[in-house]
Amino acid sequence: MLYKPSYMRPYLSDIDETVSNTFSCNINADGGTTATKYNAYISDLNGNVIYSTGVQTLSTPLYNGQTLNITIPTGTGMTNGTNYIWNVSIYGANFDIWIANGIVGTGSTTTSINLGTSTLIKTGMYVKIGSESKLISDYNSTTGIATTSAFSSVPASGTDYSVYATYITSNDTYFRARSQATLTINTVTSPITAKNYTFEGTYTQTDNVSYKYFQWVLYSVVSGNYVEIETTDKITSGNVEYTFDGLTTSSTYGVKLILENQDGTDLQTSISTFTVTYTSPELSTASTAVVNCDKTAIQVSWVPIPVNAGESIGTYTILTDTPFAGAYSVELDSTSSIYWTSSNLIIPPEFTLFLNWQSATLGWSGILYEHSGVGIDLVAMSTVAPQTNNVGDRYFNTSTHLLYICNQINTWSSSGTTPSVNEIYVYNGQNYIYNGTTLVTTAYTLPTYTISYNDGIFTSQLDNMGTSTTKTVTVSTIAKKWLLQANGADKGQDYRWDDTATWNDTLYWTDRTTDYANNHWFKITGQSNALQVVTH
Amino acid sequence: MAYNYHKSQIYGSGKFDYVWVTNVTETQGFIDATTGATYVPAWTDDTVLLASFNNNINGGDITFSGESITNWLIYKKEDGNNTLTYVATVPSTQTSIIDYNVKNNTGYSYQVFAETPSFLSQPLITSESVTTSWWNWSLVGLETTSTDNFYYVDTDNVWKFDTELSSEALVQNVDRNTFEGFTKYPKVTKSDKNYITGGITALISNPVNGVYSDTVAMKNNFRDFVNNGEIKLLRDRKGSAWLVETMSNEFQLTDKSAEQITQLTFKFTQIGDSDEISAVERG
Repeated sequence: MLYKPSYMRPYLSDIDETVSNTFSCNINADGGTTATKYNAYISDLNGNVIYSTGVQTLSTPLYNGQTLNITIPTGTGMTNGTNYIWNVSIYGANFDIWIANGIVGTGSTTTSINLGTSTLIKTGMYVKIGSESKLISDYNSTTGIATTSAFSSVPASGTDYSVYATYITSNDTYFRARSQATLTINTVTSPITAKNYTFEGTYTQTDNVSYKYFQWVLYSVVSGNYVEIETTDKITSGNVEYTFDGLTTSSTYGVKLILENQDGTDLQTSISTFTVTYTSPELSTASTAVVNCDKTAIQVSWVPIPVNAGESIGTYTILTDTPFAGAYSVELDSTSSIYWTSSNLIIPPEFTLFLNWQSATLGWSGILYEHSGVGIDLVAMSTVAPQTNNVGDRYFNTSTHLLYICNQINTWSSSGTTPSVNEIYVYNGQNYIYNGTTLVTTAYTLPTYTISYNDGIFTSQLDNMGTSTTKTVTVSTIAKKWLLQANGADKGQDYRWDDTATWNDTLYWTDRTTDYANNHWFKITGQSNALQVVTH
Repeated sequence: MAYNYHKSQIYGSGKFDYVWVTNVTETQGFIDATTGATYVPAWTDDTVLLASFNNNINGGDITFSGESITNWLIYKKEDGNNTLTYVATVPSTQTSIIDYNVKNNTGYSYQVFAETPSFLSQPLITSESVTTSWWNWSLVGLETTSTDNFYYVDTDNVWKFDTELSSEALVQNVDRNTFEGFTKYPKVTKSDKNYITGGITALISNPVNGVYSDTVAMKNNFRDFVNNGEIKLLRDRKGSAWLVETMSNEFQLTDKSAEQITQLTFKFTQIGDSDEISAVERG
């Protein structure tokens, strides 16, 4: 015997009526019983049947548990954006599906049986009275009269009857006709040239069915295999996009987008692959790992790259695309400066300085760069440590000839360090230097190194430990020629020959050279005993 | 003999593309290579100051492609395993971390990457592998952070159990139910449940230079620790590690000892996999 089919599909889901769809259900039947025919119906929500497949004979009968697939073509009368009901009648070979019991009414004949009115009894079913069963060729649901082939005798009023059918109809199943939703990943720039990238997706559904959630899956492609490295949470609002921060250069990745809409339709894209390439500097420093048994842990250390915060006096402006596209520069006016200083900033006596500089004011001259010594202040020079001190304080022990530093308030370091012969120490306004044994007073002042510019001439001036070194580089010789101006004319102005003038040997002509430093960039390289300038 | 300089300064009126100072006398060839109009200096081992003015005036920051380092990313790798495991992200000013999520008798090497807003560097030269080796169980308190699976270690609660230690059986708890029917074999249902329970008995402290001592304060601290409700990292001597919750504890004083030695026995239940978390000391 057949039973109602189950697992009706579509069920509370969407189909696109503009394309052919496959509806399906599972056959439920006793062992050996087969489904041989079916008839599927689609109705609107008012119960009006708008499409029927008609009774279709299966080329291969289906047994219990098998799936009946029904092709619903286009042009059924459905409209996307509308909701519908469908059901299906499954037919077997025998009329063994019980439909109703009842009592025969009055006025029956051998071919016209008064079964009474019933919504369950239909034409095509069988009525069984006693041991005889007859096909109902017509059933009038208004009068309750069923027309059959002739019974052997007229059923008496009050005789029991049963109605059986060869088919059973499924429950009504709700579904929606909606245009096909689409989901795509917007073109991913490949190669990506940074470690972070925002992937964007596009979801469309013309009947305004919005998404319930979306998820992104990121893969690393290793030897052709996709290794999942991140799956986002189910994101329920916002643009369909995803930013991943951590892409490594010279790698290949894949990304996939999954989305479920409010109608329960699941969508997912294929995996879009892309490569990542950017200039990734190789840092020459190394990390070290040491087991710390006291903490039952491993300490990892690496060489610090100092971050020396610059400080400004006055104002400064960061310039972009200066001096070339993609470059940055800082501009200072004549009253401003920027400096860097810390105990970690150690520029030794032998150094190389690189500057790329341009004057910002017509005719400017003066010091453009300086580095200088900073004395190391001592809070005491004594045989015993001061009792009060602040973090960072230093004192020189005149017995041990070692320097001690305060690590915690009123606590000196347990071990001292030998002073440096390259530093000047300051105590009570007096400069001291280390002579290899102890600190001694000195007349030396703190060292300085400057670079200045004036009228096309760069000058470096070094003063260190009594040695003074001056270097000059002339990048432009200011031409002075006889002309009709007084000596010392403003070189920032433009001049022309006055044809009415007469020659006068006491007057000068001055070439306009002051804008030279404003119109060029100067690659300045300074060393303790050398100065080089390249003009661009 | 001459003296060091500790302050570098630029003055207006002018525009500066960069200020770069190295601690050596560079060769002429090196200098010549820097004089191109679009040359961009890069940090070298000899660099003591590099200010590129890439949106800031910092003078010691390494830069590449116009960006400064913002963070260090630390990863580790167990010997014999090629998979890199994330350890921590620390700011550029920090130059070390202490990783507690390491198992005993296990070799580890570490890789450190520099991170800018847009780029990741190649890793710093990888550290030599080091192998952990200690002779104790340890129970480490963890503090939850805003980042999933990333914990700071509660350094006041790093408990090492070495003295008079005995461990109970490690019980594997799984979920299996047998349903008898009329078939030849029963049906067995199962779930994903799979965790360890056990207990540790040890003295609360350990001898230092052959002298043992413990205090009431130590006992009270451990009592608070057991009941603080935070996740804990438990590691054994053999090389296992679990995320656990402490379920109970007993203190037993040794009445006959002058020191009134405190022995503890705590029970634990595994609540997570240590391989899925990071546990480092707060920088």
